[in-house]
Order: sequence, then C-alpha cells, then structure tokens
Amino acid sequence: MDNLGELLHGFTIALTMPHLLLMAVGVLLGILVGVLPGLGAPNGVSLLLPLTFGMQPVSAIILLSSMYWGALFGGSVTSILFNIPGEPSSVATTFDGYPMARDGRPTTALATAFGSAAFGALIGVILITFLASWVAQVALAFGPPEYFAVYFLAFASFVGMGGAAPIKTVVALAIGFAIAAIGIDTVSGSVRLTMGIDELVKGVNFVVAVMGLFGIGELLVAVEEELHARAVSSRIDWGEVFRAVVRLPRHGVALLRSAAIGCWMGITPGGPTAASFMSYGIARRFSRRGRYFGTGGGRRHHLA
Amino acid sequence: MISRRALELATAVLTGSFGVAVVVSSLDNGIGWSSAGVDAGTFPFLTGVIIVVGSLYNLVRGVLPAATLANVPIAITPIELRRLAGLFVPAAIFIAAIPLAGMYLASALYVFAVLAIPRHQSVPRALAMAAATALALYVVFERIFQVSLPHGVLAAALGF
Repeated sequence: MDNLGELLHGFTIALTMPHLLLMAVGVLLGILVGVLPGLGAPNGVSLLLPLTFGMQPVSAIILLSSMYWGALFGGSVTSILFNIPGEPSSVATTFDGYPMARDGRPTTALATAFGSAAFGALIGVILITFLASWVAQVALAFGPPEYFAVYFLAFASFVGMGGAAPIKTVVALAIGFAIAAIGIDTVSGSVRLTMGIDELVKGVNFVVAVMGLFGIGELLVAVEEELHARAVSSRIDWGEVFRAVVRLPRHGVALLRSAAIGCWMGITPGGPTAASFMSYGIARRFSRRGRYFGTGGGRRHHLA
Repeated sequence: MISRRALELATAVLTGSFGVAVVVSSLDNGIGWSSAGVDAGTFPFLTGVIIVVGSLYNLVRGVLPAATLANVPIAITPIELRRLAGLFVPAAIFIAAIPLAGMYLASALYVFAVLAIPRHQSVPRALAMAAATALALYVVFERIFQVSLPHGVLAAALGF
C-alpha cells in the first residue's frame, strides 16, 4: 500500500495549474512530433530535452512524459489518415484504421484509437503502481533466450493470424530479417550483405523502409485506381467522437485482453511494437467478426 | 495486360533471387561456428534459405492450375499500367539523376518534367515552380538545417 500512498502524493503535485498547463503543451508538442514520419516518441523526447534545461526536475519530467504520450498518439494519426505509420508501434494501427477512415469513418477510427490507448495507459499505470517492485525483478531476469522467445511469439502469431497466405508472410518476414541484417553485425562487428556498397554499411534505416513500403506503395495504388487525394479529410464531428468513446465498453473483452497483452509485453522488454502486433493478432483470432478485420472492424491500443 | 498468375510468378522469382543474393553474400562472412562464436553470416544465411524455399513454394503454387488466386485473369489493365509508369518512371529517373546532377538540379528537372510534359501547367509556370522547389530545398536544408544534400558530380566538376 506504500506505493498507493506515493502515487496519490504524486497526483497532488501533478494536479496543479502550472503542471496541467505543461501537460497540455507537452501532449500538443508530442502529437506534432509524432505526426512527422520517422520522428517517433523517443526521438521527440530527445529533441525537446533542451527545452527542459531551465525547469524544475518535476516539471521537466511531466513535460517529457506528456510529450512521449502525445507522440505515441500522433503516430496513430498518420497511420489512420494516410496509411503511413509515424513510428514502429503504430504500424498495426494502419491495418484497420486506414480502411475505416477510407470508409468515411475517420473520426470513429481516431476516437477509438485514442480512447483505447487512454484505457490501456490507465490499466498500465494502475498495474505498475501495485506491482512495480515485482515487475522490476522480472524485467531484470530477462536475457537473450527470453528476448528471443518474446519476439518469436510475436512473429509466429503474425504468421498464424495474418490474412495472407502463411508462406507469403514467412517470405516477407524473412526478407525483413535479411534487410535488417544488412550492415555491421552487432555481435562480431563484421560488415555483411553490403555487396560492396559503402552506403549500406550503416544498414537500412527503418524510416526509409517504411516510407517506401507504405508511403510509395500507397501512392502507386492511388495512381492505379486514379484516385487523386487518398488522404482522408478529417473534419472532426464531436458527436461522433462521443459515440465512439461510448461504444468502447462494448469491445470491453478485447480492450481488457489487449491491455493484459500490453502490460505483459511492456513488463517484458519486448517493446510496444511487438505488443501492438500481438494484440491485433489475438483480437483477430478471438473475434467472432474475425473475417471483417483488416476491412475496418477493429480496435487495438498501444501500451508499454 | 498482366494476369494475376504472371504477377505471382514474377514476385516469387524476385523474392527468390533476393534470397539467393542473401545466401551468396552471407557465405562470404562464414556460416556456422568459429572460435569467435556464431559467424556473422549465419543468421542472414538462414533467412536467405527461408526466402528461397518459400519463394519456390510460391512459384510452384503460382504455376499449378489449382491455385485460385492465380486464375484471376486480369490484375492490371494497360491503362492502369500506363498510369503507374507515369508516376514510377519519372521518379526512378529522378533518383538515378541525383548522384550525377545533384539534389537541386535533379529535383528542379523532375518538377518541371512532371508538370510541363503532361501539360498540367504552362511551361513558364512549370519553370517557376521548378526553380522555387530547388530554392526551397536549398534554403531549408543547406541554410536553416545546415544539412548538405548531395551536390552531384556535375556540381563538383564546376567547382562547387
């Protein structure tokens, strides 16, 4: 119960006017950074680090953590409206969010993404508060075999639950591994798969790969079907936001399940990317409306 | 006209040859164990093998008459192909021109070609937009962000 007391004491400090203002500023800045493809939450936080030099430590941490959350949400905005994920952990959001937006329900998709992310965050905070010391021990016990197991689970669930032919998914995954292996091997330090091209020594940047695969691919599809602006316009209808949030509890089981996966994957250092893919895969498997997934029936959220 | 079967086969051949390239390239780094531990080529070698085997499977499935997806007769019509080429070919030429002509000249030429050749804009307007693009790139990257974009062989020959 010590932890709870500490948490409540934390709230009394955080819920003061200047700090609330700082949170608002931080979240807005975070969304701004998160929307830009390639500037994910960690980059955004390090970019804005100089802003906090003149601040009290408590205010600085509040600003930076609001920034971090804002950037995570910002990443889902581009995923849903443009089908270009702003950062790795929002890739899974494109699967349903973008089709929903294209069907004329961008507001619903955005509100659902934000609502479920907020729910996941809440669960995460509560869980961490009660289990912090225990969780820290588990995380410290994580070694290479455990990392391998977590990622293997994530990739295996992706193959088993993806919509496409499994062998094609396996080939695509293996191509991804091969591309990720280009450059300097982190274990031995030797340079591999560069074919003698100096530029490849540093490896292939994640942002470059994502822009090519999602961005250019989306452009080519748009041109093929002669649709001009495929970026979905997003006039926000507040009634729709409210309705989407009200509808969230109906997906309660999926939310709780995803929250559980998110917390588990957040404790284990698998990271938010693996967690979001896992939640998606599991939700797909358990949903009775499973076959509508990927065409815009879904929901998920991020948590780490 | 391109059939779905042709697309499936072409993709399988493409991914397969990528896999072969990965396998051959990783052999240079050594596969298996040495005194230093696992050799650097082992992991890429295994992924390469998976790619090759999976691509062969896809190739066979594409050839087999039973494959349902491959029976879709038309995946891309000639009109769609022309539209795709209209975006892809100039972009590819643009990328290829960057090392030679440099970022600024190449982007100006690209903007001009894309706007003026299909007659979306009149020639003077296309020229103005091309110049503005190059200038904006220069001001934003070279001046404000202090990031040097590729200048190209041509600029180097002229002494920039």
